[in-house]
Amino acid sequence: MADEKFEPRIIAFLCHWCTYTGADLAGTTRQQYPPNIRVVHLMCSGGIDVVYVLKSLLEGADGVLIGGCHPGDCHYQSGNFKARRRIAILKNILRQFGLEEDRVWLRWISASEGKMFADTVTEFTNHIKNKGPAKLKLAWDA
Amino acid sequence: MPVTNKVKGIEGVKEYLKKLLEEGIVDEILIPKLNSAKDNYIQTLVSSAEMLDGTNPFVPVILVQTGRIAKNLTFTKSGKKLLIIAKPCEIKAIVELTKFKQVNLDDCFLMAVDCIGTYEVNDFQEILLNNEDYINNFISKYNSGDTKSVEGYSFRKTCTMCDVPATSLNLVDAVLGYFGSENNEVMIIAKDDSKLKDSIENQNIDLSKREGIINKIKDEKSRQKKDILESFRKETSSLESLQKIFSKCIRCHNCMVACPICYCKECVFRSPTFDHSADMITGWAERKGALRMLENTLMFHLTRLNHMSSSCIACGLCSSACPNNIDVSTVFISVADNVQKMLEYKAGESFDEPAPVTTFRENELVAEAGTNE
Repeated sequence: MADEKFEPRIIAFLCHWCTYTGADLAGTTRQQYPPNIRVVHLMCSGGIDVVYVLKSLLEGADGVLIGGCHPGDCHYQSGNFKARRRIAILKNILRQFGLEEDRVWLRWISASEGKMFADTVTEFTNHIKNKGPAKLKLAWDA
Repeated sequence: MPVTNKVKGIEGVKEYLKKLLEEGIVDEILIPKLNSAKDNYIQTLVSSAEMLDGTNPFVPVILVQTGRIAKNLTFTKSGKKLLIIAKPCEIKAIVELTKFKQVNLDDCFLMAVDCIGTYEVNDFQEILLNNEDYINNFISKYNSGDTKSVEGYSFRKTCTMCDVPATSLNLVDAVLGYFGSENNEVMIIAKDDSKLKDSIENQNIDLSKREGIINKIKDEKSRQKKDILESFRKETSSLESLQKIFSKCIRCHNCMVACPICYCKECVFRSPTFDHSADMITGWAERKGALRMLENTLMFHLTRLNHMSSSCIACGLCSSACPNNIDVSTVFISVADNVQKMLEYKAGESFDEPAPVTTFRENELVAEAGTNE
């Protein structure tokens, strides 16, 4: 069982048009979810570069959550398709070096899915709590 | 049916190339030429037939990846008809760069040479100065499928696991091949719809022996590659192993400079994005207790892997360029192998298959990205 006092630090990159708005809806409809996430507001999940995710993991994040529009519904047509490819490649590479690729989650959450946002954050936070603190964030020789 | 012709050795090839220049079929040829110090061969742009003296397209050394040179020669228009002669991995780089719109092959002819392997630059220099016979008899030594390097030296590690000893005729206007030839003969081979076919007097040579030898070399090197990658992956599946691999990295970025696929004029790691203020760096050191300098070393390699491994053509110049002999190439080839398999893509093999970072499909990679759809 993970350390009871361990509170995960999760960085969430949320796309403006869908997930960020969905998160907003979660707030206005008073959905309860763990306060461990720090939101970075992006215009589109396709604006994610791998450096953001990697730097987060190396500088203190126990988990990184990326939220975007459902495939086919991207406000900019194809940004989320590119995000999916990039995250697939990132996870493939993290796995090859045993760097816990399941600390990076990519989820499609639309503007109307306030409850799904709350549920996803809860699920992710519990997942990270069970995994414990990340090793990568302690790597000083990096 | 391909058009095929046999010429005698390097001299025969030079006669053919001289003809191309003198008849105005090409204006300039990019080909390895003995340098003025006479101690190595460097890719040279030759515009006059006399200057073809001292050239040898088969020399087992690569100083500069021809992909990089092709960028400079074709990104803007020169008004000249160019012929680029290059090794299979360099042709692969040119294919990828063309898809990235960094190389423009409109006024360009491409010729691939057969390649059994290359030596590190310093090794080749010693071989050239002390064992000229080996270089002069190179073709007759390797045309029956021998893969052994010269006594006292090894081919570059990346070459020992290269499964592309010869380029497919689909990618180039002609191939200068020695696999399957007799003595020191060179075969000039082109598809029957090649732009250069009229310059080749067809002798209808049977290519089955050549194909057999190429397949034999491919099999041997593929097995080598499998063994090398298996043992590498067993030892390097942890953060500690990653730290060990790059323990000597001094952030010179020579691996990136040498890489033909890394074509960004300003790498993000040399841009203001990574020009951190001192308080950021000291802040990181404070949280962790210590911080290796230069900061972001692992970040550089992990990011470069993410950005270019889907188009890595396994030329290994990154390892050759590293001043501290880090085996960058094996890391990148191991990752590229997995990433390209996942994307169902083989870098450098087709002008029509778009490079993975430039495209997407509507339904793909759901499990790999771990998404809900």
